[in-house]
Amino acid sequence: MSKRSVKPLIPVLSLLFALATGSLIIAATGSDPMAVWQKMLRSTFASGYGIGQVLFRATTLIFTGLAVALPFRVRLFNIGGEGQLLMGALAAALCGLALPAGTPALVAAPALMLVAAAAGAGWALVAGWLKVRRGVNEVISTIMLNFIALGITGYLLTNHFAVPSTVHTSAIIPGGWLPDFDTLFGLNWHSPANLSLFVALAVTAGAAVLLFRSRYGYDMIAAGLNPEAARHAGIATGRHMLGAMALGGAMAGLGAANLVLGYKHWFEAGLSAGAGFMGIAVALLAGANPAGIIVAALLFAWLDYGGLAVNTLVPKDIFMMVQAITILSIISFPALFKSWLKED
Amino acid sequence: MATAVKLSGITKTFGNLKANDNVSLSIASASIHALVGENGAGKSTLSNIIYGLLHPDSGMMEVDGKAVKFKSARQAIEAGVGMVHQHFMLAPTLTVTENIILGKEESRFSLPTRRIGKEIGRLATQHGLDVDPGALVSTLSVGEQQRVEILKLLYRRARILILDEPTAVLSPPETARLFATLRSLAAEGRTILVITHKLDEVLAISDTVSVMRKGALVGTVPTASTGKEELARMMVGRDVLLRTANPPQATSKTVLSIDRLSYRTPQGVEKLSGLTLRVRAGEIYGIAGVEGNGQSELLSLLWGTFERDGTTGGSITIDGRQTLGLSPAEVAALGVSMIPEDRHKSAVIAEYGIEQNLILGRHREKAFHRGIGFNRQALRENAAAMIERYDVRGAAETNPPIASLSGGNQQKIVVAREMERPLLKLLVLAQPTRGVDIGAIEQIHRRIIEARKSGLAILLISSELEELVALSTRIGCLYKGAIRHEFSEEEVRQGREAESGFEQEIGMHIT
Repeated sequence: MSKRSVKPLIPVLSLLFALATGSLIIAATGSDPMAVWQKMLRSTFASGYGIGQVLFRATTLIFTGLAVALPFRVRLFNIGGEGQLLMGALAAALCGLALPAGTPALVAAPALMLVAAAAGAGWALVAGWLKVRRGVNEVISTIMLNFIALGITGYLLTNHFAVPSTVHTSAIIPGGWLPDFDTLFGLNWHSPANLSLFVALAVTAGAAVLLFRSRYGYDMIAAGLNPEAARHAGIATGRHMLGAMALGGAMAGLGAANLVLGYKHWFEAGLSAGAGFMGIAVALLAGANPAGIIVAALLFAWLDYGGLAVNTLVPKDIFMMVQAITILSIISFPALFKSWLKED
Repeated sequence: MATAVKLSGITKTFGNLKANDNVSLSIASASIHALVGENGAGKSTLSNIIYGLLHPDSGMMEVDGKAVKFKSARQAIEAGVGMVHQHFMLAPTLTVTENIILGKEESRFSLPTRRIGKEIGRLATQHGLDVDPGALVSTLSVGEQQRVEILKLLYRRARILILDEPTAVLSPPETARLFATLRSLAAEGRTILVITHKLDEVLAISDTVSVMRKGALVGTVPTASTGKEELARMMVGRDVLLRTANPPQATSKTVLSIDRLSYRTPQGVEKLSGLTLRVRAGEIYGIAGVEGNGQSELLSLLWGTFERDGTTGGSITIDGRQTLGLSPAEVAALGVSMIPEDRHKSAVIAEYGIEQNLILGRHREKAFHRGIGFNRQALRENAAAMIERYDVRGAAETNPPIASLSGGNQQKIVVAREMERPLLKLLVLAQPTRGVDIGAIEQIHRRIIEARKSGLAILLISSELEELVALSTRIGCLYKGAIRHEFSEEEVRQGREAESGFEQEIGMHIT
């Protein structure tokens, strides 16, 4: 087989490798790998509830994946999706509480989404500003901003906004709720999947247009590929770094549309469940390409929910390892193969 | 005369490309042999084959009468063949002595640096390769680093030395000095193969010259019996106008005036100190100078890309308007184009297509817009017109990344883009033909003269004195951040008639 024909098979090969390694580990703990995989497939794809769970998780991951992918285009590594998501979610929840109860959905839902996006963007801009004005490495600043966001949201929740003896706020006004799939399509899934999946798809398409079809994208990608040449061409690279960071933060903040407006209808502790961090892997696997992010988000969402579903067969820690190995091999295999493909 | 290296029927292919096509060549012992050819003619491939870095698909090679088949550079060195690459391969944090013995340590445990240092000193004085054996390589000038590379070969007892574009980084005096060294080495019985594209240097230094074109050896001739025109014709395969016609022309109002311009970097290093010059419409003002005398800083101040933390003084006026401190986009909007020194770093985006690179920096022009994006039809038509008008070769219809073009053709894209800027008044050209083939140089030079004729003011910065003399109306000699001497229109015109003497005179003002 020629090297060229191997290329499209790389993701499949890495997935197979991951499944094989995962099987070995599962077998070593005394469970039957085949049974585990079967259960995983059945619980995710054989029921409406399973499909809905995967789609719900994928929705957040699309947002947090874009949060990493857009800044990546100007060579910024935004590790802060988690913090930006938390800030967006809290902002949306608090505004959703404050809105007059009778605000119509057509006004309330978009307004709350804008608030979430703005809060995420604002939080990301802190790191962007530190980078452009002060040269602070954005990896370090976004990691630290994650902790700070966790602290702020945790403090405000526990000390000011939580419903007594719970870890969540009261529910936002009904006008801010996004309908779930059952309401939208007359289904009987009882899953958390909701309208925000379509928001995510639309935003992804918008990101693709912005990057590849607009003059803004021409400038931004030029600034990322060759900052020196971009500067000579009169492109303000610093402004594009800020812009990309703000856009990324807005994406992460929009994750709140799914979690708060579409599902929980309030802000609660542990709401993000690490989706901000998982977004990094999604963006890397997708090569920061918007269309690829949808596929990568679905894959990681499947692993995420599938792992939860086989909890009764395999200890949670073991399956966390299997998930991590899968992610690791999917991300590292193409790189390994690339050097091999180049040699000729 | 004995033969040092004999190649018979060397062929080397990369994919579909025949980099070397049945090349046969004899290099006489104790001679200086020049190998010339355009970029991509196969010079580097051939020298890498001689040095054992590449292995020929077919053909035979003899060194000192013995058939050899080098599997690696190490074997070549053992057989007495050494090479100085265009980009030096020295460890900057080690001393000269340590670099020279690197890879050839006599003992595993102790280094008799003092004794070796003495031997190096002896080799150095013998051949005019002065350099302090104890100095760190990072503190040396490029000329000194090159001497270290040559010493490295001599220390390894190389009898056949290959030098790849050895003068590319040297100032005129350093070049003269290198040539003296090479002659002394040849007189001592060493064989030298110089790879270059500078024909003047070939004529000045070599005994024999071989010309390559498109992978094949076009011919080998004694240097004494040939001339520049003949060599250029052999290289390009057609007659080449080495000197673009440069008729005098009346100049009109001043477009660019720079007054007592000074610049100090944020670290406090003075780069420009009181630079003053005027460029009028219809003239080419050439700036001669050894690199590092303020050229880059002058360009960055003109174009607005300088580090704003630095300290500036004086003024730059373009068409009556103060421009010092404006952004690149604002300067460009006044009708100014610039071709920067380093194409890869500052003038193109390698991954972008030819069409996209042809609008880089001009992408704010409404003619290219449609909606929130670009008018693809306009971009395509613009590219087709530029490719046609500037004779860009190798551009496929599918708008491939510009990196797929050869260096010379990439430069033509940049030249096309900058020269075709609407309402252009001032053209700033820095090294417009660097890394460009002799055939393409001719075309670019003709474009520059045409632009001047159309009434543009042109500022030309070049490290090639030949280029400056051929194109300039007036020439300013830049030394340590100021114009130290200016040759008038009349002086330059006379200088063109007696070129080598004139170049020497310029050389004296820039060192």
